[in-house]
Amino acid sequence: MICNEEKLLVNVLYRTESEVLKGVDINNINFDDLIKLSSSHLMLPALFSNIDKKSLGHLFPEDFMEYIKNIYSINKARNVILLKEAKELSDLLYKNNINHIFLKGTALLLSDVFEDIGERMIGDIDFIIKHLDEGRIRNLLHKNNYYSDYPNLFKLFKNKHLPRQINKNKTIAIEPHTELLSGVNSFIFNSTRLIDDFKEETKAIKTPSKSFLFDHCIYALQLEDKGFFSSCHSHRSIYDIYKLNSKNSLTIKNIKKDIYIKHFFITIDKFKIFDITITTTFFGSYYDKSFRAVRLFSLKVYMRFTQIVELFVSRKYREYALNKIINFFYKKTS
Amino acid sequence: MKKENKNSLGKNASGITRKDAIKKMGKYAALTAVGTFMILNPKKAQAQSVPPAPPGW
Repeated sequence: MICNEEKLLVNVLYRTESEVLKGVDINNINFDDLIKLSSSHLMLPALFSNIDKKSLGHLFPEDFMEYIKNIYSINKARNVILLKEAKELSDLLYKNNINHIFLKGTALLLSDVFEDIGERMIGDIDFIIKHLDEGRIRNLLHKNNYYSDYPNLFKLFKNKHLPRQINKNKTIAIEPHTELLSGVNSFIFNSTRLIDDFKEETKAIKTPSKSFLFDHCIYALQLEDKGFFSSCHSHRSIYDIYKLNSKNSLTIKNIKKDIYIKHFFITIDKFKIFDITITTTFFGSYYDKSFRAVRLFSLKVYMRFTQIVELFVSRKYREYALNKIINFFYKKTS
Repeated sequence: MKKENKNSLGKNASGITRKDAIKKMGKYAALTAVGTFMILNPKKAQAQSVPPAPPGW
């Protein structure tokens, strides 16, 4: 069951002007709920951009339009800074012979996936370096006044990225990755496909191929954000996939369809955005469900196991856990 | 605790209350998910550098 507001959001984002009101009762739209929904998916700037591009402003209240236009403008200005800072960062890394490839939102912006740079909300600048360069980048960032507030917790498996780095003279934080997904998930999707890109000697800004960005977007949502277990969807990810596909650089019908990619498209099938059919046989869906249940169970076992190990070996983790417990009781009593 | 909450709702250094700020931005600001503001306000977004909670906590 899709609520009226989500139907409108989907229509505005993915359909043509003439189809925007298809299946939507515009008189019963609750614009407060539309704000809540769109902002929870980080889609307010994209909503404005599409309303503006498709000349749909007359369907929305004036104060609503004014508000989302403000959000869009702030986001656009921020993305202009993000692109500038990504280029500066790239120069700094090349000067120090650290090969790197931008990832996620920054890579999408740099690859011109969006016609309008104001529509994608991006938290930080993600990029990947080779494992071998980890020590060098730590020193380089430290020398260039980057720092991190993250406690360095012991991890059973290596983290996929160094702690998020902040610089007081920069607007956007950066996240240097050494892997794409964390822990055991890196066995499913990893940076092996980027080896050729790393070998390239050109000192230009590098981004992965469109098909790589496509896969990374889906695996990150399914595995890192647990979409595979909760069956939740993210309009930001759907929109990324839509934009990657709409440039005709991918033929969505020919993509590989493993269980994670299939699950992504099954979860969003109700929106009828993509021309793709995932057929599930009885045995197939039974297998998928069992697979998900086993994965969820092993994930929980793995989580508890790492927590217990960390409690024994890391003082910082014990302090962290103790703070959590104190906060929990403090909130309950206040 | 209550006193603290009252103070946090009171005027800040710029002489504007949270209520005034929301009024100024329109009623929609109060309905906007916090994640949106975390990204848009760079300093806040940078300051949110809390590590991803260890799994399960």
